[in-house]
Amino acid sequence: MKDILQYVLDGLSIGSIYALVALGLVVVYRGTGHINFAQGEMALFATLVTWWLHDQGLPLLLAMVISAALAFIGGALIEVGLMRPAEKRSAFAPVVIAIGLFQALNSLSGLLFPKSGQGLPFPSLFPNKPDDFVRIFGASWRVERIGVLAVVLAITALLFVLFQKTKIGLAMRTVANNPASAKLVGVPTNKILMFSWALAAVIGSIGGALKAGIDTNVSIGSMFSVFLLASAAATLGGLDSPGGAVIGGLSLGVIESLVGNYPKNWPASEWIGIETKRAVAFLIILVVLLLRPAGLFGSAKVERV
Amino acid sequence: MVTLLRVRDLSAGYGPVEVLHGIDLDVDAGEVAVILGANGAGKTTTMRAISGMIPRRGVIEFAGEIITKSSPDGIVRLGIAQVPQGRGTFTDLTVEDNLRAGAYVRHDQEVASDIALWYETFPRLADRRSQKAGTLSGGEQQMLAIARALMSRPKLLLCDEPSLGLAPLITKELFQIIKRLNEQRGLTVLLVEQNANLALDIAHHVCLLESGRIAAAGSAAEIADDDAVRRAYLGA
Repeated sequence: MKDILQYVLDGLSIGSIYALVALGLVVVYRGTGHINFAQGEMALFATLVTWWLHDQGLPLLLAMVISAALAFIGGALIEVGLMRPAEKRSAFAPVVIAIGLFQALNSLSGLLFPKSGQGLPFPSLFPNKPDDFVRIFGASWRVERIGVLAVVLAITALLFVLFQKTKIGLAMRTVANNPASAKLVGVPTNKILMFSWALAAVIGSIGGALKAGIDTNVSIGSMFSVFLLASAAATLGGLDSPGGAVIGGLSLGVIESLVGNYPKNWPASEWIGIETKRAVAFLIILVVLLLRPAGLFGSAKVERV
Repeated sequence: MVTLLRVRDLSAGYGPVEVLHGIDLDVDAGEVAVILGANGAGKTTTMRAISGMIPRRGVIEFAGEIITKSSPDGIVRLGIAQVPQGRGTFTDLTVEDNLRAGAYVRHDQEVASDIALWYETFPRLADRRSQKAGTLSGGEQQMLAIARALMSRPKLLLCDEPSLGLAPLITKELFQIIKRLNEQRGLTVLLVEQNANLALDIAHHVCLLESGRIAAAGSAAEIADDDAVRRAYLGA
């Protein structure tokens, strides 16, 4: 029992990171209907910028804030300079551009931060000395992991307030639901999309820094598997639902952790274990999507005529 | 009569395909003007051109300002609201959020009282205020689309074929509401329709649109008496 709780707590930490990157995906998806394949690498690049600022002597938190501000501008520029022109050409062009951006940002990271290939040491925002943990029913929960989860939940709550209680959030929802009608009620849809990309980049920059903190380093390959799992998490939770992205991310982390620690003396343990944890996780997602194609919390289109 | 909307030599279309070939159109303040036309005549294109949704050439002047180059949100801000064809409600948003979205361009404190006002006009919307718009019936969605457009406090309401896909009784009720809005609130309305009987009933002026050109224009009575119109649109 104590072990299971431990695995769940471990899963929640990596799941928090999936959740954050998934939130960035959801923010862009709601506005554009596309999965932003570059979300992980946007986060990576921002994290390397954070690393550099910190390396110049800035405190980590300040470095993260500056990096988030730069990410905001960068995300907006990506929308204006790349996505908007592509969107005019064809509906599929933005997907291709995003894949290109993924490659470009990864290469640019390697070019600007040559040592990032092997990994750069990255500090944690939260206390992470060996004895920084609390005991819950015998399981240990590291303070850093609690902090990361708290950040994820706080960002989710902020996004909820943004979407449901503010005018710009209302505008974002109209653009997501019906861009033509959004224009007809006077929503400047271009500015809203620009804001969505900027916001997604900021969320990515926070997620990247927290992931690097948990790993204690950041490297070129840091975000790739995170992006894959985050997109799975977002699909599981429902691509248009921020709450769903978080629950999808956290459950994916927990499933991975439980499968990865499947006892060797249990049945079928040659099939279930650390090597197959991702496969099992994706299998579960597949089953969920067969039963609920819009994801656990995604909205299936309902329209009477 | 003050001309609220003046359109001169308006051409518009989609990509290389031109649908409107230089139309002229005047809408006086306080009237209901109707554009009659068959499928494919360019009615919706006219609406979309006025709202700034598609590239256009010519002159569109609204309340003394040239809006031919304005953006859709700029045009809403100036006081033109459109009820698009097929209603275009925000299906995932609640009825109330649809109305709030309609007030997007406003910055005053009277949005809530306007919502209450339109709930009085459309009581069925009030009953469904926290339902998603997509779950409403076609007639209810059309009423929501009109109420949403009115939330911007427009000077000119554009209605793109409000009768489309609705039962005759509901269509009739809808036209009565539009008529009342015009008579009691002085709202100027430009409506496009295929249903000539209904449209001629509430129209002051009528334009006949055929293949992207204005074929005839005049008062509702003149158009109703025109033999060619009777043959083509009234079936008599």
